[in-house]
Amino acid sequence: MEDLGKTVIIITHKLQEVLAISHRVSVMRQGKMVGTLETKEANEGILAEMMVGREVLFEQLDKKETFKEEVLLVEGLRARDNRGLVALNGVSFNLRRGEVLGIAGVEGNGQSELVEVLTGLRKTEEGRILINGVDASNKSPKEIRNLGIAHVPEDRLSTGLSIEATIWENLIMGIQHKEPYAIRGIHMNEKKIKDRANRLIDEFDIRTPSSNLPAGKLSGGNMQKMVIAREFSFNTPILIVAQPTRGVDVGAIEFIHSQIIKKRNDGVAILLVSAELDEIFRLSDRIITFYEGEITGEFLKDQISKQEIGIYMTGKHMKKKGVL
Amino acid sequence: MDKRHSNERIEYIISLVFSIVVSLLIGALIMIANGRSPLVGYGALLKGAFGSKYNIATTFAKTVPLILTGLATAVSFSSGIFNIGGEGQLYLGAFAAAYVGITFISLPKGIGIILAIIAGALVGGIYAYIPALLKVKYEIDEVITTIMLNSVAVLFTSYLVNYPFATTEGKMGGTEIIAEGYHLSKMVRLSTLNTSIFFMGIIAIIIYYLMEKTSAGYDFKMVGRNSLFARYGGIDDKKQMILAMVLSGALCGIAGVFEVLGVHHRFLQNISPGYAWDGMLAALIVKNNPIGVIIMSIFLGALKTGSVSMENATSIPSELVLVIQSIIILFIAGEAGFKEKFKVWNTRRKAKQKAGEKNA
Amino acid sequence: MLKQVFNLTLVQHTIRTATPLILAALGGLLTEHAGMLNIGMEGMILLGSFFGVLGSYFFSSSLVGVIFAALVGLLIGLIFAVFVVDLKSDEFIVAIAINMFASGLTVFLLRSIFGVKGAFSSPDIVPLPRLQIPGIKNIPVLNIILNNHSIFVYISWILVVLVYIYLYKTPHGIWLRAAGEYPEALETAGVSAKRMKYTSSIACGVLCGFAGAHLSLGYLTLFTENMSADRGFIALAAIIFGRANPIKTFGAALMFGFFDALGIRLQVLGIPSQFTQMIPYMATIIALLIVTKRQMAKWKRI
Repeated sequence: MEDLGKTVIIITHKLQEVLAISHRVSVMRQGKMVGTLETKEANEGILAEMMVGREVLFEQLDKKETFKEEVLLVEGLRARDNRGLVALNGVSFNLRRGEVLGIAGVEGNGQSELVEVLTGLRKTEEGRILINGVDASNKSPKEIRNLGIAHVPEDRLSTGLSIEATIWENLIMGIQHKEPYAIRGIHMNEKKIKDRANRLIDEFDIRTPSSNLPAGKLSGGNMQKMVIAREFSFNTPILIVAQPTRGVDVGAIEFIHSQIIKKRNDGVAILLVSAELDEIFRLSDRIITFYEGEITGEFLKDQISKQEIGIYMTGKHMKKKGVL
Repeated sequence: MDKRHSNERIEYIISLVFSIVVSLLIGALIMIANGRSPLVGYGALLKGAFGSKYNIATTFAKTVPLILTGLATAVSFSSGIFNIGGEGQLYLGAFAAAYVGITFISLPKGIGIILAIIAGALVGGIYAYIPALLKVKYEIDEVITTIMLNSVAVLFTSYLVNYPFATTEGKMGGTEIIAEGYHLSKMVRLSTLNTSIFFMGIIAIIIYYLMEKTSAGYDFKMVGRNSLFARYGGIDDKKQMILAMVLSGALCGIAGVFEVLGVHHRFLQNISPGYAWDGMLAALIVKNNPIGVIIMSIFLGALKTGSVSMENATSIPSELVLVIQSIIILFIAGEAGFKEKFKVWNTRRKAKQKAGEKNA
Repeated sequence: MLKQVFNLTLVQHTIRTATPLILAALGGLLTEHAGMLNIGMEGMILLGSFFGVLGSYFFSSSLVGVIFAALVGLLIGLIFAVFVVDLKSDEFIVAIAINMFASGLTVFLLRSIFGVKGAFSSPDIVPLPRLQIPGIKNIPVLNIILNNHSIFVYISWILVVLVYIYLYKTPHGIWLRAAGEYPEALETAGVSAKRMKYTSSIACGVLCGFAGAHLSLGYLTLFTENMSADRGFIALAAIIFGRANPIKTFGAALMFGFFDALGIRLQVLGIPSQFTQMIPYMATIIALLIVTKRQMAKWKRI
């Protein structure tokens, strides 16, 4: 094509690809052009840093030392994506109480499928999941919730809420059959349900005039706070949190981060999936890098820099640098 | 209550009333085009629907199948699975009731009736289970399958009453008369209003309670609003859809049962002039709100009953109300779209006005 | 007895009964390709048959009848498109409204214009011309099967080929299909998906109007209440059975027409026709099941 005198624009997140065939390379992040340089001046390190962005200064979060007993064990997980292609190829890791395990990776490398498998929304082909020693592979979302996992999904609009339902209806999802919200498991106790909703609205700073409003009327940040309020209120030993601050304003980000750390300090085991490296580094105690459905590295937070991790996320260092 | 939410509901009721009024006006224009006075026509219609004890009774008799099939629609539609097969389920339910009524002739009165209702519900429910299963297991569009199954049921019952179960009273496409013990008593002389309206009332209350006040109803509605969210929250969305469809089919089956036990006392091959379609319209117009279904069924029942008197008094063909009904539906279907267009037009107009002011 | 049923007349009847199905199905498959499921064909056919009779009766011309039928089809197709495409209404609710409108309006007009209930028939209704193909006049078998049909029989066959060529060999046809499958891509290419949807809907209306005119002016010259008698739904079944391919849909419509004709003949002999009448509906459901099962097996193999 090029030899024909045509202009070719290639859009990819695979760094090797860009370096191999392009002349000039531009990096975009969050809808903005970060910069353009000649390919011969670029290397993977520079590009990764540009893609990930420089450090945003946040307030230091107060992380307590907590005891660490394993609550989730994942062994050799294999699963396919919606197109039938292998999305997870032998993924194994563990998760302990009182830690945040961050999963870093460029989106579309199997993290979404991992979360879906762990929460019962997708079937596994091989491998197993143990929650507190109980086999949870291929269980239904309900059974998994009962085993002690709550889940903030990556796409709140498609998975995490119903825009037509009211805020209180959204907040009761998951415990609508449980006392005291359902009398004898049948009659919905609207008063108790709304009291709880109002409590959560206060506690999680959801800005709304009333819990009777359809959730679709909330802003993105408040929708997300609503989802987080619901999932965090279940007090499960394990929390899976995917893209918790996507499309959320800065104030809400701070709030959500502090809530996550609060849970961690209370001894909850948290699996954090995020495309934002800043977020991963800010919240995690331990970080796993994902590339094409496989784990490419596992690090304690202080053992690796953001620049370095970008290389693991793009599959350059396929050699596992195990630390733990 | 917060204002914005209730405002939306009021806004919808306003557009609903507006749609009905405009449709009635179109009906009036048609009457004028026919050389008849709309005042006289609608007067006769109103009198025909509510003018006497008999008329009121006839109007309410019409609401029985409408409310049942309307609620059936509401249950399935609000659960995100679309049962268009009400007519077929109604036919099979009606036949099942007639079968029970001509087979177990020595049962005590109450028990026989209950048995017939159960049989109709069961048959309607099972018949609805087929498209539900095809939808959930193979993702086959239930709109298409239920439409197809309508015709199959109508043809199948037509076969049954013309051949194996044909009455000996002559070629009429019906079964024998059901045993005396199955007849629901008439409430007003000459009208078809019978005690099935009480059964219907009880069923309507149960459905209302189920859909609006229980956790099970919550599960149904959440599946209808966002099935992925429901699944994520621990609801078995597929099971819920099947349940909704079966329940919907059972309700339509019961509607058929009452036509047999209360009105005709036998199964006839054209037992329903499209009750399930009318009931579905009632539900569509009010966006599957159970109370709305009841109000709208009374409205549609009144239109139907009144139209006959209108025809007798003014010789305006009663089918005019079908035309009016369909125009109401069309307006309601376009309601959201109309509003959207109006808003766009309004902002443009305002913007133009502003631009005009600036220029001046 | 078999001889009484399976003979050349059956073939002739099959061709007759299949024709309205073919015409309507060709229209419906156009909207199907443009991404709209049209269950309003039933009402469009019914309106077509009524207005066909109306035009033919008052203007003593079957051509005017056909024009009337086509115009009312065009109008209803336009209304369908306005609501579904522009007002983003639910296509199936709009279609149900159309069906109800058709059954109400035709009976209403039947009674207010002609003053009759049930059916209207008059020697003043001019039927559609019948065609005699001169070449096969003397070939006995072909003469019975192919000759002396109402003109729409031949038109429908030609239309099958034309629609096929249109859909798969012309850019306009490709756009139409893209309007259903990849509307964004089509818009990117500078073609309005909206316009394609309008086109298909109007074409569907006109073709259903033809189907109606064939029913009421083709062999019998009369209009009866609910004359379409589920043919819109059988046409829909043919579309689904033929997976919206004009040739396959034509085949399906012929097959369903055959069972219809067979049923009528069985009935004459006192054999229940209900089961043969059920075949189009059952066949469609079974076909859907087979197709999806096959697709699912394919998915698993990847």
